[in-house]
Amino acid sequence: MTDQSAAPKLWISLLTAAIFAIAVFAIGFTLYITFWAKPELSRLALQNQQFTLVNHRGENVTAEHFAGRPSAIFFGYTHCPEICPTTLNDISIVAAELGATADDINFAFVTIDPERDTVELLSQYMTSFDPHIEGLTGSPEEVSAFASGLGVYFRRTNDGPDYDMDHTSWIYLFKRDGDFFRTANLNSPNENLTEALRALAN
Amino acid sequence: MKTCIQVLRIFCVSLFLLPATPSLASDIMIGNAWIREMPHGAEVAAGYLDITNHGAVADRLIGAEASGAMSAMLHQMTTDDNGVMRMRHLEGIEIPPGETMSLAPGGYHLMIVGVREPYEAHSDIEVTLIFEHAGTITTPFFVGHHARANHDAAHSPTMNHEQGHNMEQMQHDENHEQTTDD
Ligand SMILES: [Cu+2]
Repeated sequence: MTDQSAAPKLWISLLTAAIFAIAVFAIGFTLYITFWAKPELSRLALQNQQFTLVNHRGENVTAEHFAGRPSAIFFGYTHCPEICPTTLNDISIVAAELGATADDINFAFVTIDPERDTVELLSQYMTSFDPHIEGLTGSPEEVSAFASGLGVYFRRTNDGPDYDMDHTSWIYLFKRDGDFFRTANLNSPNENLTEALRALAN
Repeated sequence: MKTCIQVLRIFCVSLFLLPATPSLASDIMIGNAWIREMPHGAEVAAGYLDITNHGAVADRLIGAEASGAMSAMLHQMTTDDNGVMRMRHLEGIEIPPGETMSLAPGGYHLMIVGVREPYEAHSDIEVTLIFEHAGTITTPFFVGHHARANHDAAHSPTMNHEQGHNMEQMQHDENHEQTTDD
């Protein structure tokens, strides 16, 4: 008789322990999201980036330039034979699909090869794409500051004159208030940049 | 002068390769050769093609020369899980007997550097391909946003890399149609 009642008691205490463990985990996770992961995300916010770049029209551009509008920012270089022109073509198509909404969005192409990509070269290069897209260059230090602030990877492949640049090929999306939204991967069949930007501009 | 040297170089390479492999040139077949339309101011271009080896032995694409450009190299592009795009130089691309190798977006390409006059859209650019056994093959590459219309051609699996760029393809379907008739 006593032996039989011991088993349910054990189950009850195990269940209590499990519920307790789940509760502790849930509270811990919430605390982590609110106090630890949030600063990580705010570190990526556009308004927290320190840089002074020059656009393809020769005008200075700082983080304030992007304030008040959603942004789509892509890093690349003009000596890139495939992924950069393709992505810029795709963004041009997205801008055309967005119609008047595109006027309310910042589209930027930031070179991670500022030594070759001068304002003059960018001013030519950008004429091949939608005029909403702004080409940005600057000193290597300022370009690095912006790229590393967002966690964009880039590296020169060799020291010769015909070097290539390895680089992050995602598009960085920011909300109207400058907060980081997400990265967009145009190689993913599920990606719908037009819809994402339309939602951000609403 | 530069082109003279280029022609001479190709000629020498062919002289060297041809006697050893008398009639193998016909074993290699080139298809869907195109060069991505260049943005203004760009000095580099990517060339793509399908290479089919009808021979009984493997062959290797070991080099290329593009007219109007300083040089052409064999490149492989990869993109990792973090979205980092990398380009690497290759010494050669092997084409096993009876198989087709595709140099297509998202994978291999001919990296054409030092393009003196930007290639005109919808024109044909002569490219000489250098093979280890078949020697040299000169063939026109169509300048556009994709290969010259070829809807019914058997596309290799690497064409999947174009998935993300379907919109681009749709937009350029008109020029696609215009070039079908040849
Ligand atoms: Cu390349």
